[in-house]
Amino acid sequence: MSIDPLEKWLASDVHDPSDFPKSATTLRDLDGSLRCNICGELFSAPVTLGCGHCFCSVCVREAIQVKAECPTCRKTTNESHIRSNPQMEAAVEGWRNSRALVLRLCLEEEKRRSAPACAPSTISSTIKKRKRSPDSSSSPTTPEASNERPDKRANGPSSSSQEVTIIASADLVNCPICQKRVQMKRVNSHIDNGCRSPSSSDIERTRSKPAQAQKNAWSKILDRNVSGKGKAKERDGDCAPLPKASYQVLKDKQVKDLLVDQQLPTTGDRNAWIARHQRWVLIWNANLDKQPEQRKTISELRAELRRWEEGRSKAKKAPVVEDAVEYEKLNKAQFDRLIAAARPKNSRDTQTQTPADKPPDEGKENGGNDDDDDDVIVLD
Amino acid sequence: MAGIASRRLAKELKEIHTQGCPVGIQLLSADNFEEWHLSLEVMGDSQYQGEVFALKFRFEPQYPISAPAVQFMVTDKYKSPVHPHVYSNGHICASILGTEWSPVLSVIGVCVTLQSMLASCKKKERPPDNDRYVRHAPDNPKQTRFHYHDDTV
Ligand SMILES: [Zn+2]
Ligand SMILES: [Zn+2]
Ligand SMILES: [Zn+2]
Repeated sequence: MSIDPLEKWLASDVHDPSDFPKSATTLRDLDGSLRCNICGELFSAPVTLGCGHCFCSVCVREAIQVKAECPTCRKTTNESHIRSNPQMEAAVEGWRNSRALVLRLCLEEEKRRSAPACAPSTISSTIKKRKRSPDSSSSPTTPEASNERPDKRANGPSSSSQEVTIIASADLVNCPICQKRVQMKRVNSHIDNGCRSPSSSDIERTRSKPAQAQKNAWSKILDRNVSGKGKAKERDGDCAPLPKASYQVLKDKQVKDLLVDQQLPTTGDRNAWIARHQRWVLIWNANLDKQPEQRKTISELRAELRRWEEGRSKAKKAPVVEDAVEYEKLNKAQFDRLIAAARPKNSRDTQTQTPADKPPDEGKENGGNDDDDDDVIVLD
Repeated sequence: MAGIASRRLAKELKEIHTQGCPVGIQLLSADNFEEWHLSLEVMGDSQYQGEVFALKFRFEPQYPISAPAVQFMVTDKYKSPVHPHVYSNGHICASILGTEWSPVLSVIGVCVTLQSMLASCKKKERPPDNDRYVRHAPDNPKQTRFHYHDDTV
């Protein structure tokens, strides 16, 4: 098989500013400025703190839960300072929708400029340019470009089941309407269909194998809402933020009722209920930081919550993520090649974003999130 | 595909791949999204001229919300640098790896910070409580609640 999922994943699913050639610094800067410094993705529900720094709503809510400060400038903050930023959201959507096109034009331009048709005097600079971006020829960075890769040939005539494997690994973009990951070439028909064609999250869902009871509990809930109320209705439904609960003062029954109120499963123990409810409040409130037309539906939020739980339980069971192990086995050689390519590099001129030096000793013993481990050793 | 930690790390790896590392820092291995090794060298005039160290990063699924576990490797090939904030088992007492961690920091960002911590060292010595700590230290430095020494040393 000539498909190498890792390289493909790195190249076509994990986007970042370095997709753009080095010569296009302004586009790299633009792309970087529309990304969250916590997750590295284009902002999803961008929010601004009192200091003016901007993050995805989910990312910063999670960060603030751990430490009540701005992750960038460390100014003290809390959830009440979070303001949604519709202007930034619109800019990000505009960029999200035009990024692939701009990237393709940019790479074409790059190719044309370095084409060997030019005078001999420019050849040496052409070679240098190629060396600097060694992956531009071997790993396409646009979803369209990866359509031209030999994987289609390797797969022969595509049947629908093969289609699924291909979709899962590459060629995905975010649907501008429902935000689901959709195959690039299907976006238009997906939208025409009222966002009903399978997204990659649906595919992931059918693939995962959680505990049966859990699965049933979830599928009941997910089905109910898909076939029940219409999407539009759900979206317009009550849009009030959910208050945080002080779980420690609640009895088991009351915690359970919180879940029942939200039509969430009550599988697992008290700790599982609390974690589930806490996460639900977080993603619910983060969703409200999107403009109404960008918001996810309740069933999409439930599906998201479920994926989050599955990811957590997988991580708990085995310290090693299944995918990563498989990847490692299947793609050791591939990975090695990438690492080797990454290793012998010399200086880069820009420094990484290290926050300004904190005042000495300020953080002494102020708890953070790691205060209740049993085997903590306290030094003095 | 795996969650936010893997995606963030994949981006960091890609950035290292396309941009290279800062001077004195090199990627030794990153075979998965659980553990990476990088080498570290202090450039120019310093107490550590000619010495090369290696850092081990371990990531939890909550990375970058939770800090990576970072320590100097102590092997046949690599030694723990003699420094007032670094124990002989490689554990590092630096607030940036504990209470002062921020999710906008990155693997390279941590390396650069530790590089400058070594670069500014005036006197090569172990932390005063080195022997006592090393005798009881947990495998994972994140399980230690350090009292941070004066960071300006
Ligand atoms: Zn984010
Ligand atoms: Zn800030
Ligand atoms: Zn859609």
